[in-house]
Amino acid sequence: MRGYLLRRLPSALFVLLLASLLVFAVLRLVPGDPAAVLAGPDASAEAEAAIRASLGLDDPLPAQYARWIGGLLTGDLGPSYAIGGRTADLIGDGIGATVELTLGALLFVIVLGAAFGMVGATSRNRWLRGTVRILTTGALAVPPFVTGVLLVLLFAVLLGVLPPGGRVPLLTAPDLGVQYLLLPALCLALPSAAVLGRYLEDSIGRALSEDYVRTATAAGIAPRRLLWRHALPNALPPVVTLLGMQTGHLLGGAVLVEAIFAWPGLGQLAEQALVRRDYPVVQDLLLLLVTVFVLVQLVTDLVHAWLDPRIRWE
Amino acid sequence: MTTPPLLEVQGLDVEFTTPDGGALHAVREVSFTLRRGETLAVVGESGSGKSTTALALLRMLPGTGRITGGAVRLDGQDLATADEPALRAVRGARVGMVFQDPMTALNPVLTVGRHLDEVLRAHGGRDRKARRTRAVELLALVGIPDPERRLDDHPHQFSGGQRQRVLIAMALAGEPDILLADEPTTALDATVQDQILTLLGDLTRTTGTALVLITHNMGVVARACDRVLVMYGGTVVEDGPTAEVLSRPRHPYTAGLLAAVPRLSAPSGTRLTGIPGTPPDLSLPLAGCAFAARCTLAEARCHTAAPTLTEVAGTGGDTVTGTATGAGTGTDTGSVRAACLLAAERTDPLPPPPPPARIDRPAPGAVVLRAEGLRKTYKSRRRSFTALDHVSLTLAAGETLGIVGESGSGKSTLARVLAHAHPADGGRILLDGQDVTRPGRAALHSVRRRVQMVFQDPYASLNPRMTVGEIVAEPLRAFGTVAPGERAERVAELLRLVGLDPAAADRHPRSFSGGQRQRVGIARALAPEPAVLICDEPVSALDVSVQAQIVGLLTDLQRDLGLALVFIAHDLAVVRQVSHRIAVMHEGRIVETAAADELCERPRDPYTRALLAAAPEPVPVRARLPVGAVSA
Repeated sequence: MRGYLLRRLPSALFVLLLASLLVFAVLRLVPGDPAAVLAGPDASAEAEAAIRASLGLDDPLPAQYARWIGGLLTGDLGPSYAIGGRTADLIGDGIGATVELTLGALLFVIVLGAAFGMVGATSRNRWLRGTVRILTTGALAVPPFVTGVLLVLLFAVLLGVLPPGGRVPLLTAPDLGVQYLLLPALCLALPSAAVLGRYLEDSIGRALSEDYVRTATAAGIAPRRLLWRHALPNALPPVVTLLGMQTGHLLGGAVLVEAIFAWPGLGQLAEQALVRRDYPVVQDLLLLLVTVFVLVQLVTDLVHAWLDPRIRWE
Repeated sequence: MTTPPLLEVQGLDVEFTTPDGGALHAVREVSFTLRRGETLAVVGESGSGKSTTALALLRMLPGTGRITGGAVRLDGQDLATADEPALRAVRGARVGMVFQDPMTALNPVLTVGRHLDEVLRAHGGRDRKARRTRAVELLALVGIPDPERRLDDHPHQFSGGQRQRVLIAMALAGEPDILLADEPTTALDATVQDQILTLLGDLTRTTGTALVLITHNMGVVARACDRVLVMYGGTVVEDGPTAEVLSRPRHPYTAGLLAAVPRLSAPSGTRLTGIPGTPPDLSLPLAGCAFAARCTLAEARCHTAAPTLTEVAGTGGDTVTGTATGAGTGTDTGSVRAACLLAAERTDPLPPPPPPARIDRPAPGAVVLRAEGLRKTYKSRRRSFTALDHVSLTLAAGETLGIVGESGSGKSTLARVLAHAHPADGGRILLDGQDVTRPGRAALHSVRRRVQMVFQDPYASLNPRMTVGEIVAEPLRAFGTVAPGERAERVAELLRLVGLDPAAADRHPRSFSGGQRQRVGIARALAPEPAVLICDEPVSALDVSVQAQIVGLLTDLQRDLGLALVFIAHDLAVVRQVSHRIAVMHEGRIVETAAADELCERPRDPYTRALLAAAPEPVPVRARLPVGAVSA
């Protein structure tokens, strides 16, 4: 496994390098000037130029890039342009909330996806299968900003059982924290859970029609064991790969969901930073997102290899 | 003498529902008995109902299949009406089953030990340690070396032959009374097939297990079983002792099937014997005999009256037909039963098949294709695999070069390199004297026009979304050899050339049989008027009675068009009959090249000799020399 990780390292680093270049370039191509935002609409051209010079925005682009990467490598993310405070502190403040939301959503994705998939693939009850099919289609078709509003309307306004927004950290007050987490996590999870469920259903169905299941049937092995011990281990590897990709989706989707539920996470921070052209904050956030994504892919591949003995030694 | 039969199948009927709602009557009124320790072969071609019968015995019919009549009695218990728990107690414990494809029949994520453990556990093995000990014994029993250690390996770490051994060990784990093997050696090379058949024979003898061996291969029947059941169109047409049925078939279909098996003894240039026509459409009701439409001896009544399986005069003696229950069927091994109105009355043997015709072919002309020292290596991160190792050959116009070898010997790689589907790593290819090893774009285009390929699988090699006309017209469009306005006419001409009705152009491949599809594949290959046709296992997916038609077509086309043929196959007997010369491939090298008859009669290389020895012949075992078994 260590050899495998070492082999994967160069390509992972290359992806990060490429991503950093892309993030850096795209931000500077987007119209808008941080100095102009900071100086305000009524400032003189001289004041704007002074701000630009003080932020180092007059330096050539390669120098700016080198300064950013150099800071990252030495652990100094520098000050934020517009929001105030140090970038590292801003990210530190929001990361707990976002990790909480994403993990909560991931749990929903796995539980709901597994339930949808198993019911779809194995239930003999036609009504149940039909209901799951309608649910997954709905979850896929309706965007989170609509489901979010609907969830708030139903659980917070009509039933009044859950808060409509805000956050209480889970670690400080678990009982209250869960109440605040439920709706945003569910809202974020629904589309991915539907995709995962459909995929799992298909994957189990295919595994159940494989020759080796016929072999096991002919050996007198009971249907329940056929499903759990013979078909499922074969059905899981591709689903795990999909789950890895969906985790990336969750991170991206968190920006929107945090806005709907007033969830004080990195999504909120990203939105503010982008509007104010706060280059350091946006750059660091995007690169963080890419890093997490690369790590998730790596973990996915390891789990995949662990589940499938045929690729263990490659 | 009068022990009741172990298994008694009586009037078994199986139907499938077709996608358009019709009924497909796959098995019709099948009756047979099996006694303890007996070895019974069920032989037939695709669609004969042999595999469906096997699956129906254990009520494992796929999809819409269902038993619509009859009984399957195992020691008196009717499995056709038994409930699921009762069936599970039979599956694996009283009847063990082995399937065709060892590559897909084992679960890739479970170790071999787990496979065996699951079976033992399902049939009451409570103690984990005892199960493991038993699993080691079972692996040793089927001849896996170092069983203790191999228990923790996964299926992909075993060869094809070893995987089939593991499957046999699984089937034997519950110490069954019956081993049901459905084409257990079809996916294996001849030498490995021989080892597996030897193993099955030894195991059934030592354990007293009865064996039902389902196969399409008459050679396997001769090699492995005491008794044979011949099936056609979902019905049993003949049932009797193997030696008797093989040497004196009573049913015209059995006789035709035997005559169609290519014999290694037939010299080069012999036309293969086939059975004209195609198997019956099982979705239609059957009025008379299923074989009547293809039978040369059929009379008017054969088309209207369905024959029943009755004992043929002059065999066996004292027993009545096998449908009687209990006592009475115990001594019928000596008797032959046939479902043929005429056979019931006939006392003379069937007329012998017409002597094999010669292929009238002109002598080969000038050399068109020459390969010198071809090399091809496939590399992955860890290892590299040499598929072609300095392969040289020549091919003349109007000549057929046969290439034989087992799987992995490099024959298909050679075909692809010659057809420029893969580039060679080294060596030279000369076409009409010009070096075309690494052609440019334009040169490659013209090389592809001159060298065409016919593929093995007529089901996978035709695009299911295109009509036959579009498939055949595609090379015409790609090479621009025919003006757009004349394409339809040329397509019709090509279809006629391969023996198809030009009206077939508007239909999709799915509405054709395997043999007809292979004709379409040949028409497509002929479309750009090639000089060289490379046929990679062109008949191995087809039934013996149909393969003669395709091989005959290829040789006729060669005569009429002066084609140079490369004929790749694993069946030496077919290759000998169609080829002028044969090259034997082994581990990427050509170990021997000689005139076809010379190579088969006086093989020089030890590997050629091994191949010849392993080829199964449909001759009763006592007339043959035993072949030594080597571990797979």
